[in-house]
Amino acid sequence: MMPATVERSEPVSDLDLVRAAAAGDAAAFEQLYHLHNRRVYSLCLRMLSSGTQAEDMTQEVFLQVFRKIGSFRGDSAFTTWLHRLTVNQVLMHFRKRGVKLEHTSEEGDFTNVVETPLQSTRRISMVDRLDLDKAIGELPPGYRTVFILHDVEGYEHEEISGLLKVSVGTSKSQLHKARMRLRDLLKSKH
Amino acid sequence: MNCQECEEIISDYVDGALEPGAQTKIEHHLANCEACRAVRDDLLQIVHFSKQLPLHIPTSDLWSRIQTEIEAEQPKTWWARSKARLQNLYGRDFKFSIPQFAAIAAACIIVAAIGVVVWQKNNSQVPQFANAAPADNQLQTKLANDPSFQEFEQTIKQLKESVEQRKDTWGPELRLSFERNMTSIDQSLNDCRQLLSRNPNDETCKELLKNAYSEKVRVLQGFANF
Ligand SMILES: [Zn+2]
Repeated sequence: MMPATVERSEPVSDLDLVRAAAAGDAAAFEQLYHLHNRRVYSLCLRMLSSGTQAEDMTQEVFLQVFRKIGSFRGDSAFTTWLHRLTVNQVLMHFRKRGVKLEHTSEEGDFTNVVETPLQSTRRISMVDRLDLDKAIGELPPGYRTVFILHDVEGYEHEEISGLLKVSVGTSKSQLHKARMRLRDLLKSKH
Repeated sequence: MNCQECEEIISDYVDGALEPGAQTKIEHHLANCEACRAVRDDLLQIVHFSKQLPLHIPTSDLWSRIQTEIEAEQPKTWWARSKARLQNLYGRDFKFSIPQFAAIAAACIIVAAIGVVVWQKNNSQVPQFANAAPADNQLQTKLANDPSFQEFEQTIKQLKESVEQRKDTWGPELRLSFERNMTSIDQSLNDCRQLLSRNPNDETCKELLKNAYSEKVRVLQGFANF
């Protein structure tokens, strides 16, 4: 499975595959799965912090894709559409489970931890992507969701505000707290 | 600006989202405060590396799980048969959408399929479909002569009787659902009959009518058990 090579050797765009899949071409749908399953799964895994749940969610996402592929208009990139669908599925899951995303005050305010002058000027050494990935998993759900949406997936605060039904200000402050918490977590690793 | 004020806006600063005035102020503070510079540098790293996180790979049997689900969702035999036949009839560019099928309830599936086929046939340049439709009574005779359709009618009649008995125990939602299902199935049955009346020798049309009948039986059986 090397999508980069596949894409180069076969000039089949996502849009071609989507159209073929929408017309009932099962092989095209399978190819879409193989091209995108890792991105979807990684996103689910990060947001849910559980491999089993992430697989179930990935399955649900691709079933949704299968059911809705005819409604994909092609006015955005397929990946954008797919990621939105994934995010919506995960958020719906959170809502069903009663996971609170907007209210994290009980999780404490990590930014007010008093640091000694020596600690405060100490930088985290080069960020290891694996450490960072792991640290994201240790964030409380509210911080984690905003952080993943903004810093990992590239959503704007306005979009996050709409998705999570929180104010832009809340989205911004959650993001900042998430970043500061990550900084603490990464510092403590070294 | 003090360190606390700096920290309040430093994420916006890292994201390049500050007004020019605030930006000048924070830069002035950063130039003079090592602790806040350390925060800035760390946040820049976190933001940067968050865009390049490693991808995770689901277990290899996930695709087969998904495939199984998809197959369970669609009435496979009828779908596969109809698709193959329609493609034989109309060529590869015949559009018959699986998701369209999977997305809607089984009853509507038939309606959608019939819709497509009726449209195709009405607009078809293929001479065999340009023929004038035979009279309706001819079709009735034809149906009556076809034992499988008679059997369907018989079964449907019986099922309807048991559904009528159950109906009193239903809530309004179930009644509504039943009415909706029946309306759409009867609509598709009608479409099929008309289609067949225009193309009396077309096997696909017969197949579609048979499927519409089966669907009605299936739905009635479901409701008879409520
Ligand atoms: Zn400072």
